[in-house]
Amino acid sequence: MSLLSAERAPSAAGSPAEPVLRSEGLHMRFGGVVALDGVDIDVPEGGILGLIGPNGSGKSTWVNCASGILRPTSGRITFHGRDVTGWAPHRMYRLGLGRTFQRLENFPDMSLLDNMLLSVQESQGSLASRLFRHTEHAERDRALSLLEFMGIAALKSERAGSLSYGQQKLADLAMALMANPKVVILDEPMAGVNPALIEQLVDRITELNANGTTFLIIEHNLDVVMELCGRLVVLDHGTKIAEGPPDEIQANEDVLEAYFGR
Amino acid sequence: MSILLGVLVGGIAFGSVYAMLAIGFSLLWQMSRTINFAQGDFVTVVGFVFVAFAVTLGWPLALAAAAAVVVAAILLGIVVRKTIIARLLRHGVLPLVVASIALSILIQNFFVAFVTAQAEPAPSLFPTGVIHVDGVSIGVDQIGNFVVATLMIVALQIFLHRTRTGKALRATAQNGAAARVVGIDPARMITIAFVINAVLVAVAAILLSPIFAVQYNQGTGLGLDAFYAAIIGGFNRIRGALVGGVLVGLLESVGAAYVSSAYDTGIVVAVLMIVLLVRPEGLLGARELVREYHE
Amino acid sequence: MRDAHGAGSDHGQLGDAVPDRAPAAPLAGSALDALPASRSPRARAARPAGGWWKATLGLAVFWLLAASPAFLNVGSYWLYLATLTLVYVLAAAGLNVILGYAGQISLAQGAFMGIGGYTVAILVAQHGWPMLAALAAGGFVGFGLGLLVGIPALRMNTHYLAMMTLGVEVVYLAVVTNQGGLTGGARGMSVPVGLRIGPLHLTSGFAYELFVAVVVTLVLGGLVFILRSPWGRAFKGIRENETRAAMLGVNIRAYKLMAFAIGCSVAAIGGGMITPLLGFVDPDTFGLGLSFQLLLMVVVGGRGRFEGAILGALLVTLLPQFLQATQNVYLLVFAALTILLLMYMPRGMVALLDWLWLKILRRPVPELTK
Repeated sequence: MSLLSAERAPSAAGSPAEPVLRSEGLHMRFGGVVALDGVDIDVPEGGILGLIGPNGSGKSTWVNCASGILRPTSGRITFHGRDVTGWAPHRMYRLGLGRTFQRLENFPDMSLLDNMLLSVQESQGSLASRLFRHTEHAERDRALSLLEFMGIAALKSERAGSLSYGQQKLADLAMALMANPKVVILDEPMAGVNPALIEQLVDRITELNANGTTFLIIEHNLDVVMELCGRLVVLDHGTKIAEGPPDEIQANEDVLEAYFGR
Repeated sequence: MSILLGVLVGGIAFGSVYAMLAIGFSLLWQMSRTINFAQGDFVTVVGFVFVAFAVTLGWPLALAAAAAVVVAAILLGIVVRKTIIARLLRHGVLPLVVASIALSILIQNFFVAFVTAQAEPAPSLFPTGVIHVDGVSIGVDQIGNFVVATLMIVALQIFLHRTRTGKALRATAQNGAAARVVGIDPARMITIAFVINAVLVAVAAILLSPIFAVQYNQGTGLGLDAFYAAIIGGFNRIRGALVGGVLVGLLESVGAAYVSSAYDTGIVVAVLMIVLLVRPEGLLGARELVREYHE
Repeated sequence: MRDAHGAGSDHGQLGDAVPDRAPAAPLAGSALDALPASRSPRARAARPAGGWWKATLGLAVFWLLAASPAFLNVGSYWLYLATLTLVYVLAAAGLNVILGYAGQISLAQGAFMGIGGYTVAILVAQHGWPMLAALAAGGFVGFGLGLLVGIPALRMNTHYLAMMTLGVEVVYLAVVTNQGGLTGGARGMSVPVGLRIGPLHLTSGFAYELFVAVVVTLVLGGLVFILRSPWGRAFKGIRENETRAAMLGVNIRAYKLMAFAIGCSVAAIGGGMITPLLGFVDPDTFGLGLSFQLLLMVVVGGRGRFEGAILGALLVTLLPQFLQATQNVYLLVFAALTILLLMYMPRGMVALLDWLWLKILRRPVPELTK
């Protein structure tokens, strides 16, 4: 049984892209604070969408709602048209949503390889079958390939917690990819990363996107955003203030105001 | 009817004291995620200290009581916080829980081995006597317990809502990271919480000791009661612990009177399990928004 | 496509051990699909080596000790103690699955031992069941009750299981004390000492000890099987980073439930073997203190490590025999040591074992106090 889903054709340039992930009127409230105030976002299939905005604008909250960690106060989230509002994270994962975290979140006491294997073991089979699946050749092969793709295969037996920051960033992305997700959400992938490694990451993301993986990237590094993203959505104080191709956004008055003030 | 009223009065009197223990418990949890399994044994410690001052040394009761509270604040508040808790906080909740269990075992066996296994009678702060109201007999000490406990809880509420430190404490409990941003020192807040807990425990001990007599193994039952109270009422809110405490007092009183004294805790446990099934955050507890995936 | 040589500084970032890498073929629909799930040498090399040495050595030592009364003259008291220790090892290992692997606090492990103990007592003494069947039944009852308790308790966070299990302890004590018809109430039930296997009725302490050793080996073997499977990895993931595990599709509730039910089942099997050892069972046999003691065993020994639970059980059961102190002083000292251990050597006594093992192998040794 192949771990990889059927090959997806990258969307032809110029064809209208179906939103694979969409939020409609997403509203999230923490006590007295309104973090998201009716946000509509479409993540086009096969594209790379950038989600930007000043700190505290609600980007991470949106992502947490979409991935199931938070239950939105109101509004809808759909995946390929299917209502997935309030679905638990592991169900979103099984649908094909992967993500990385702003603060590195892996399993520090387990080896890198075990981290990778854990990232995929739940995508197939049942709880019972997993008990007996001791040899995991296909999964190990895939894990090693992904680690090689990221350039960190030599660290496979190291404790994940002992890796350097940059190595963990790469590992994070590798883990998110293990189950061959349709959509990958990257939460500030370039934060604290040196320029050479940024190049590496941009390369990998571009390569993966060329083979059909959809990306949504939260990022503050506007150079990276301009280079990678085909489309941007800008949030400020929990509302969407602009959306469109990068060059349009760059010139948008409201966006400049949000970031830099009047 | 008068029996029922008497039972209810007794329940509320006890309940108000349990409430103090439960509130201290809840405070520790809110501030530092500590589940203090030794709460009941802290009561035993103060009980023995109080007896030592009041009986062995023969000090006047008010002095002995005050001294016991001070000793508690230092020993059970500051010392415990700065030694054990300080080291363990970084390792997470599990070590804290196990350490508090070990502390409980340590305290109990310390008293058996080095002090006495006997029950030590303790003097009451209140005169003996009974007041009759509408055919109901109310003990003076029951009134006294209720009044003292209420005063303590009111004082705590004033502290938490009207003083700067109190507000800082509440802020830290609600959002530790944000509190740190505005300059509140979370470590200091935790220490304050421990001291407050110690004081609450001390007062509860002084009120309860004349009723139960001080003995090494008292702590288990009391600690459990405080625990149940906090869970039933709501771990993460002080008013929850308050309500929980009074409720447990009432349930035990009613249970002992109308069912059987063997099952009085049984009723509490039954209610506990129902609450856990139906409303796990407690009667007045707050539902946490994020899926509970982390400690 | 840019290659891995950037401005020259990326090697330091990725680690010197990482070779230059030419861009790989894209992953989707690649040659990977064509690879059969094979025993590729790469996959084999990826599996951690060793661990088998320690296990084999441990097993050998275990059986040497267990079988030693055959050629050493050991008093009946020591046989009794050894058998008891074996049972505690089992119960601690079960608690370790709940606590050390899945990261849950159970305060009812003693009660579940008691459930096993009473189940065996009732089935063997009152209904004449053979021992093995009664033990198996005890295991099933433990598993089932574990599920029953766990399903509601695990809906909320960690500590609600702790609270529920505390409630379970109290309920257990209340039931066994008051349901005289079923359990013999406060006076308990007596049970024939020794065991009946088929036509054999073995009453010798040594025979019983061997029986217990066999059961313990089998059950521990089962635990090893579970922990080495993807389940074990899921348990560890939940313990180390629950949010991430959930994001990766781990059904947190289901796994926690399984860990809990397994741990309870193992406790029940252990408790079931105590009953014929003692010849009776009553409410005090498996009291509240036992759950705490088992907790201490796991924490002191080293949670999350198999050897840890074994070491902890050995320490807690055997140490008092060598310390000529009263029960109370011993417990006091032990509790104090536990606190100190938690403060200064949180990985448990097993950290000392590791230290020794690594010194023998002449490998670098990590800090003890971390």
